[in-house]
Amino acid sequence: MNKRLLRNILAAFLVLTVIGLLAFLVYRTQAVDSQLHNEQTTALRELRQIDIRLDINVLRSRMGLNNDYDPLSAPVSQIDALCSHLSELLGNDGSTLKSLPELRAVFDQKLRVIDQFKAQNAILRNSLHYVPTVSDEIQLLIRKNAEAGSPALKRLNDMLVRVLNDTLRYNLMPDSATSRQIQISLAQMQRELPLYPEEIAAATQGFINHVHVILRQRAVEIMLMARLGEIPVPSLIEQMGKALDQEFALQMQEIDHYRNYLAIYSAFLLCIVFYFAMRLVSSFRMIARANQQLQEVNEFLEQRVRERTADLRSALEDLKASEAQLIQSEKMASLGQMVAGVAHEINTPLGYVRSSIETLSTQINEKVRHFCQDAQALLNAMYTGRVDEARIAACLSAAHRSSGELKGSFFDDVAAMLRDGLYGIDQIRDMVLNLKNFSRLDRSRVTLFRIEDGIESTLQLARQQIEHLKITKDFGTTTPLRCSPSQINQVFLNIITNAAQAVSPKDGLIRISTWMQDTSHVVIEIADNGKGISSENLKKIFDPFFTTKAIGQGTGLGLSIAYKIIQKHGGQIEVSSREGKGSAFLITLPTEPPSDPEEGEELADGAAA
Amino acid sequence: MNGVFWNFWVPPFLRLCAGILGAAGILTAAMATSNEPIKPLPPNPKIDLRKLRLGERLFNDPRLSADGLVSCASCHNLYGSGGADPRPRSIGAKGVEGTVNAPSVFNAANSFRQFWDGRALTLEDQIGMVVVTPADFGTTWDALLSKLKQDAEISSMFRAIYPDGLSAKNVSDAIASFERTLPAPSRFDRYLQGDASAISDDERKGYEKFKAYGCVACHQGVNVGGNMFQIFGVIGNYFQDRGQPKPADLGRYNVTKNEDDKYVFKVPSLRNVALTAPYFHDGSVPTLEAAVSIMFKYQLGRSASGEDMALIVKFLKTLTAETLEKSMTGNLPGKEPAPLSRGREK
Ligand SMILES: Nc1ncnc2c1ncn2[C@@H]1O[C@H](COP(=O)(O)OP(=O)(O)OP(=O)(O)O)[C@@H](O)[C@H]1O
Ligand SMILES: [Mg+2]
Repeated sequence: MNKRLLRNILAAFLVLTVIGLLAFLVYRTQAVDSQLHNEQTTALRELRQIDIRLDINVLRSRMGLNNDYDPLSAPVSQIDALCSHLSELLGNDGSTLKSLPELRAVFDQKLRVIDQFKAQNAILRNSLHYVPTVSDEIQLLIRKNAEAGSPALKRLNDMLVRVLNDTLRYNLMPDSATSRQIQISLAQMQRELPLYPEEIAAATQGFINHVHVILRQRAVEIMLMARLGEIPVPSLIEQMGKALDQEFALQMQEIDHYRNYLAIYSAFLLCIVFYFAMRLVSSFRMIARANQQLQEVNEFLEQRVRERTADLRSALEDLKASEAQLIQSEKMASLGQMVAGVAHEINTPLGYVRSSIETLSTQINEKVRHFCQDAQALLNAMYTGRVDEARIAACLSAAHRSSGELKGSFFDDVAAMLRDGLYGIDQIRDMVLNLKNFSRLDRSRVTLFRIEDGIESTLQLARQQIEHLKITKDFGTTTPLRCSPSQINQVFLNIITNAAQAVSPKDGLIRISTWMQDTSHVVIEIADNGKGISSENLKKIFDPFFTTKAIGQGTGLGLSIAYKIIQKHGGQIEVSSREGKGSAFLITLPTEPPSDPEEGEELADGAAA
Repeated sequence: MNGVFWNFWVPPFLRLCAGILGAAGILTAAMATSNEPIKPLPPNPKIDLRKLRLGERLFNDPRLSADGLVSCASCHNLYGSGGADPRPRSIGAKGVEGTVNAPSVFNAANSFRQFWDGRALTLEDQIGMVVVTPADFGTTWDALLSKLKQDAEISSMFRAIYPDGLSAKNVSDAIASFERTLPAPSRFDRYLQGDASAISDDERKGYEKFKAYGCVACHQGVNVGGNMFQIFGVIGNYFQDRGQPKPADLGRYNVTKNEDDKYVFKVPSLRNVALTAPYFHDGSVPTLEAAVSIMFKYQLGRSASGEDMALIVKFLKTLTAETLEKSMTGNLPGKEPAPLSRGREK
């Protein structure tokens, strides 16, 4: 038992391992998510695009092609969002993830430089825009001025033109020589400022300031552009892309490995499956063979069964025959008992009849013969022709004497004796009639029958057994039954006999009741106050040969026959009993038996036999 | 630019397509968009209406702050002050005074960074910082969330919108979503889109001056600013002239600790600028005219006639969202403010 369990567990474990390994290999061959890889590279590519656009827009702003900085500031949040998205996509993807913070830092650096660039660019553009305006303004003021011809103002005018040209050139192609030259001119202007009229001086101060701003901001711009060029965003993105690709390739390679393993493993599994399939086929074959053998055996067995069935059938027939015999013998036995009773019953009136006929015969022999002899002698004496008076007188007196004997009580006695005889004969005739009624030998077939009549004739027959008992009859008005009367009577006789045997002779009581259960069922109850039946025996009383009575007294067939008869009539027989208190047999019979006439005939035949 | 990259990454066909598309794109863009430095407002994003309701409630909910007295709306007055704070410096929870004047929330969604010093990238980041800054809400997310959790209605609203219910991330998301639907177009947007009658002649002249004097060098793009940093005092030293230096005056330097970033601030958006007095990060200038002249002096390094300045101010007033313009003209006591634009709601 334990060993088997162990084997089962081991087998389950083995199967699980095999499946697990397979699942693992399949998983490993599918683990790489090319979709994910795609998304990662897409995100990187988008970052790269943004970076390129940033570069382009820096250049456009630098060239004055963009007149707002939205294209340089909108990407700030885009970059942030993309980096976050990328870090989500990368999950914990080794080397590429490590460079992501670096990428963020590099972008931050770039954005910081771009912020500086925007500030710087705005100022520079402004000053570049203002410088020619203010120069024109100053020149206009000089021309309008009364002292327009003064050498200071003339110099200012020249310087303005030169510085403006230099500044614009410097803006396009910054070189330190121009810058130095501009610085010198500006310094001179600054020095000569007190020489100019107030209005011109103020404007010139503005001009100087803004040219300074241009020089300063242009230098800053150069520095910022250089810094911007150094920020390694593209190379970093490229590097990350390569790393991603490498990882992907590595994973693909790994998958290839695992795919090979999977192929080998699958082949191995297939072999095993094939092996098992072969074994299965062979075991199927074995099973088929075994099946065939089994079939043969089966056929043989069936043959045997058929033979046995035939045997059994004949045995059953024998049994039935013996049962019929038994029933017959029981009937004979009960008949025997009855015959004893009946003989006793007949014997009594027979005694009457015999003795009265005997007495009658002696009386007639003595007295009637005497009288007849005396009458004969007298007649002879009178008819001889010769009258012998004396003889006639003697004869006459003798005849007178003998006739006197015939007179008086003689005829009364003869009549009484004849009456007694007739009574006895009547009794015997009644007996015979009852017997005939009981067995209905005359009408054995199924017929309409009043239950109460059956009970009466049964009681008559069982008179000898019940004469010392009290019999109570409680008959309802019942519909006559279609039944075999002799059989139903036998049932009553058996039950009444049992009751009579069960009660004590002193205060024995049998109550017989009939009533209609419904329009089609008659109930007969035969109850007694006898010794009752133990609950253990109660189960067996309908069994054939079950008896508690001494050998020779009971055969144990009475109730079993009663049961069978009631059953054949489609009725029911029930018993309730309490030990020491009495028993009650309850018979329910349908007014129309369900059985077909043939069975009824059989019943009748059985009863007749 | 980088041959290896391109060869490696983009199949030749794709590269060709990209090239053609790119060229076509540039051409069509150049032809289609007006060459104005100020761009019209794009449509607001479509956002779940329930989320907007929730965001609006949270925006006005003082429970977000430590003492339960300060809400987003306390310093971003949506109805009177164009989403900004009329006080020079905002007062946070428990009366802690802030260091700068709260800028407008109306077009914050279109700014490239948040705060004067640009220390937050997104609106969500900005909200997260406001929650913990003592001069703002001065609380913690845990405290804030546990307070909100007691409100069954708010909790159930969160559960209805977000699978994970009430959380710091979702509170930020709801408020930011609300804020993203605040931008509303102005008359000037209509002008940019070709409706020449949307602004008056003076206003158009003011716009020309705005461009000619170079204001537009920094105040450009969709938000008329808000997309770059600039030093305050390109020419001349504003802080020296103002006096009383404060740490907040260092601007972006406080974030980057980079010498170059000293006195550098985010160029504020000029949308609704007529409503958002007082001006500048220090809230030191109460009128638009004064602010414009300071800009001329320290940023442009030049002066302009009073007439030109007046025209520029006139132009600046066309940048007020039309919804707010109406609420301003009808801003009589007891009158309900006009409903705010919400973008296209779902
Ligand atoms: N009314 C009754 N009171 C007590 N016991 C009964 C009664 N009727 C039947 N029995 C018990 O049932 C047994 C079987 O009865 P059954 O009539 O079949 O056989 P029997 O009377 O013993 O023999 P017989 O064949 O002569 O009738 C009896 O031996 C008796 O023990
Ligand atoms: Mg019996």
